[in-house]
Amino acid sequence: MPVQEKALETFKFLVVDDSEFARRALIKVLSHIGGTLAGEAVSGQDAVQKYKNLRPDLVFMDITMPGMEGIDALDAIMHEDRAARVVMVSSLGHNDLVKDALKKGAKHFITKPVQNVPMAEIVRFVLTH
Amino acid sequence: MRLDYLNPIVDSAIAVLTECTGTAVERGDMSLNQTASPTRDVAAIIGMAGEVEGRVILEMSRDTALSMASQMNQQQLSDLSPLALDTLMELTNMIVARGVSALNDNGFTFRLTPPMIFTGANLCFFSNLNIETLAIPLQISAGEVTLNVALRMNEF
Repeated sequence: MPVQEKALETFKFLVVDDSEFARRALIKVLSHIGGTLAGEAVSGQDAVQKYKNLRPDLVFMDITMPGMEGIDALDAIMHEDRAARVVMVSSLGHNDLVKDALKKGAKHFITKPVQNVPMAEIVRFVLTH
Repeated sequence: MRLDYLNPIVDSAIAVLTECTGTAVERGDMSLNQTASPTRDVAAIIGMAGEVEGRVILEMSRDTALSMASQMNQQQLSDLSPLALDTLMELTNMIVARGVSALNDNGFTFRLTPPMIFTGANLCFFSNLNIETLAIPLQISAGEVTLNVALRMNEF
């Protein structure tokens, strides 16, 4: 089996968003392409803690959340593990924000809603680069 | 109100509603109101502060709110539960955030407040912002939603 297909069958993901609807939508899309839910977090602090405990293959991180925001949680996770694969998922998608996230180590940036995003391609790209 | 503030938000509302519901959105005639007070049972509101200030309100009937939240969750929701209300807040957030991202790329800087939602009959909001409001009805399969946009350039 090609490496890329194998990766898509086995990845474990952590979903970080303060919105239950947003978490459910992401979990549905990612499970549909073969991912396994490692855990859910509702804030930046929660995400950092759960990353340390769960060590998922991929993190899908919202930006605007109460308390620690997604960009700061990205920073903290990258500080903890330089090999972490974090994908930012935000309703905001202006250029400065995208540049900042990529500069801080995010592997990709997705703009909500996620229903029509080519998620399999994005996951494959992030897992293999 | 300048149309360069309004258009990205209306375009975003049509695009996000189309993507989230999977059905076409029909835009009705725009009207001008003196206040941003909603007239229906469910109103989700997001404020803006910075170089551009004001608010955007998405309002709809209870039936339309339930139908849309059910559609977006792909499950029948029978009341305005926390999940249904969260869905409508997230919908409003996606609409406004995508619209203001376009404004931000055009050089305006500002911050959004977290979305809030109000439900009940005879809702009435008061504010001293004193900005005229443009109301744009949008017809979707779940019913009609109205986008109320009240924005202005802040003179520092």
